Amino acid sequence: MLAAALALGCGAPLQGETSQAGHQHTAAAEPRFSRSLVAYQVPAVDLVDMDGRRVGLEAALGGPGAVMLQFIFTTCPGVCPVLSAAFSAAQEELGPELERVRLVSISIDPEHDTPQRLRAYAARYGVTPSWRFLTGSLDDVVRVQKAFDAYRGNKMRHLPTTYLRVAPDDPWLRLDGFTTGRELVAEYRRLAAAP
Amino acid sequence: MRGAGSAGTLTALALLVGAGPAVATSAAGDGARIYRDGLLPSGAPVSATTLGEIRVAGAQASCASCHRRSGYGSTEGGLYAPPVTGPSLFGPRRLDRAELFSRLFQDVLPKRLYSEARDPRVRPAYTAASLELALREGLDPSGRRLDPIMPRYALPAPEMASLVSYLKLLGARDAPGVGSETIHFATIFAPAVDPRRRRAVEAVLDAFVERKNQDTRDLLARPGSSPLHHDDFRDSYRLWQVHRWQLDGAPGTWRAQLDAHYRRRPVFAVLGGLGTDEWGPVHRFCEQTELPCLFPNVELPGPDAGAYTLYLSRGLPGEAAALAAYLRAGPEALPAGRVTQVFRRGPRGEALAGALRAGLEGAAVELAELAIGPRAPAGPEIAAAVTSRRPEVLVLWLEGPDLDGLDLGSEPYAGIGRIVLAHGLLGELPEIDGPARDRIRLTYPRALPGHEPARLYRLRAWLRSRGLPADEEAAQLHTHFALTVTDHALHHIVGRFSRDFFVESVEHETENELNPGVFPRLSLGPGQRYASKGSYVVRFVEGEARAIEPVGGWIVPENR
Repeated sequence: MLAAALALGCGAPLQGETSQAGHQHTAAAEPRFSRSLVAYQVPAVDLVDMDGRRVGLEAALGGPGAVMLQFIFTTCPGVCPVLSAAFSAAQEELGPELERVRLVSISIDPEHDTPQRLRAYAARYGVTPSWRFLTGSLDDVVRVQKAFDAYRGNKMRHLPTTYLRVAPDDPWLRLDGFTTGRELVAEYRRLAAAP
Repeated sequence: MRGAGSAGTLTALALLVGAGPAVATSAAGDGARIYRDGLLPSGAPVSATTLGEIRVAGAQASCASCHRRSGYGSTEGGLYAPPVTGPSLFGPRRLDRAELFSRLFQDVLPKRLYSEARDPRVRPAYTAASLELALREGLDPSGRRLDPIMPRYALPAPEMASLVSYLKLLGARDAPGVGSETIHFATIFAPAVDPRRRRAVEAVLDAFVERKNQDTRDLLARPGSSPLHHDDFRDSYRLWQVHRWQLDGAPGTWRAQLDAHYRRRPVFAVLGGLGTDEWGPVHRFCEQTELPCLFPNVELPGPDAGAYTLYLSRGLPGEAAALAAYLRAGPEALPAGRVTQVFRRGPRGEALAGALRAGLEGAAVELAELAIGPRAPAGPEIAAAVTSRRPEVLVLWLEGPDLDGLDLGSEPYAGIGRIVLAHGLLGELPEIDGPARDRIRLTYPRALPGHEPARLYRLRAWLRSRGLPADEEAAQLHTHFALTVTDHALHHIVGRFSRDFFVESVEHETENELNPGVFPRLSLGPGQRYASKGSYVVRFVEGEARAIEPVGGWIVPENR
């Protein structure tokens, strides 16, 4: 999978990434997230949505329009609330463009995150119909994480990553690190405007 | 060494807070609510800003969300939340290998955090004023900016003062049950536990603790000889002592017995234990004493979820809930139809029946029930009910002797599509021959035979090599698991003897390849209290005695 990575600007400073975005423990400004373009093969698995319906992942991610994807879990203490808050803010930031963008959050703790728990979690972030939460069998969810190079064994080791794609046959723009909703939308617009 | 006295201020305080807002009168009580729940004394959510612009509020903005209830922080993949206990905030940051140990050697960190952990910085102690500046503006006392992921809080002055007074208390003293040389644990046995079962479990306890203490003595006996930097951790080593708390009499009297045991010998945690039908009083004792109680062998877990009692599984109610999910949406789902469930009156039967009833609520299934008295013969009543009702699915929540008395191949049962039994009530796979065999289904919350986690085979060898007959294998394996997880979690907390920190470590370790093999997988997470979360429904393989195969996949029921 990684061999297929078209390393592109990984670690390079991003446009619009000001020193504000680089406030760290260290005084020096450094980018808070890094980008890479990677061609991932979406595995043919069926997941389950917030209403308990089976959903083919290829169908959920395929089709026209852009997709933003994150891996989360509902009892995640620190990382996921920030990831999901960024999606929540991105929904608003997109405005009318939201019609052309799908947001997908896949639980990496599917045995705990039943559709009912996903619904409760989603409600905290003001989800619109453009944002779906998916769960499934543990084996399938592990396959999906492996396919996106996101599997770390113990769920507490997971990393804050967002994947972005504007059309079904494009590679994914992988953003490693924390982003705000505004930054996600800026990344999306830049990608959508690229020739 | 910090004192290990009786239950500290924090415990008393936490009890107040846990009881609800009405009693949270002290400043530290208000601070505890802000810290743990992200709620102001008025009940309004705390609000804050992270990454410079993302607004978070309430539970997401609570300190505990990242720094955890213990205050010892967490390392979660891409996020390092440092300790914020009283001693760590209001003392200068020390560069201490034991304190840094888990970040240096145990956690998997992204590059930035990896290098940060190896380049630790000192800072002066916080004062109330500089802590306020850190919370509002994100500046630490050395003038460095905190990571932008740390929210900036707009707390009114009195609430800020309450939070600061709570943080001063947080982690300020060791939990009870820990001395300078010994850490005390208890294991609890309910009355009327089969003595053979108790002996089997105690043999595992004794063998494990003897070996553990021998290793610790060896390490302590050789100061200066420090393979794997053991010398850095000398202060955190303790000899284990596991006290046996035997309960007697009616469950209504257990609480007083438990309190008396605890007063005589406060313990840091309760490990394993054997229950029969009732565990509620033990559960409530552990919750109210804020005492971690890990993985008791019980079929009927306590009355509600809590912060301190961790169970291996949901037990019998979990099997019934999985069956309900199976009947609703499994491969043999009944879109509509008649289901009859039969149970013996008593805690087990009623728990199973209640969970199936709750699980089928709102489904287009007609559920009928037959409750049999504790000593009445089951056969005639069941036959009569089946004859009159003709169910498509007959659920027999019955134990072995009752089943032996039924001829499931005979006439009244011949027209029933599925006859369901509970593995948890039978304790083993039943031997069933004849025409009913292919219509039998069994709830089976365990790893399928031949597909057990590999550690099972290592632990069987461990038992054999210590001359321990595996005659109560599941309870023995689970006892070994409770001990191993405790050992690993203590290794992680490195001498910071906070019960909350311990539970947080156990939540993490449970997922780490320690599964002893009874259940297909175990995992916990913040706030999760049942390590194995579902069940299979299985049938017998044709032509092979006692061989089973799952019908469909692993079922994780909704919490109804």
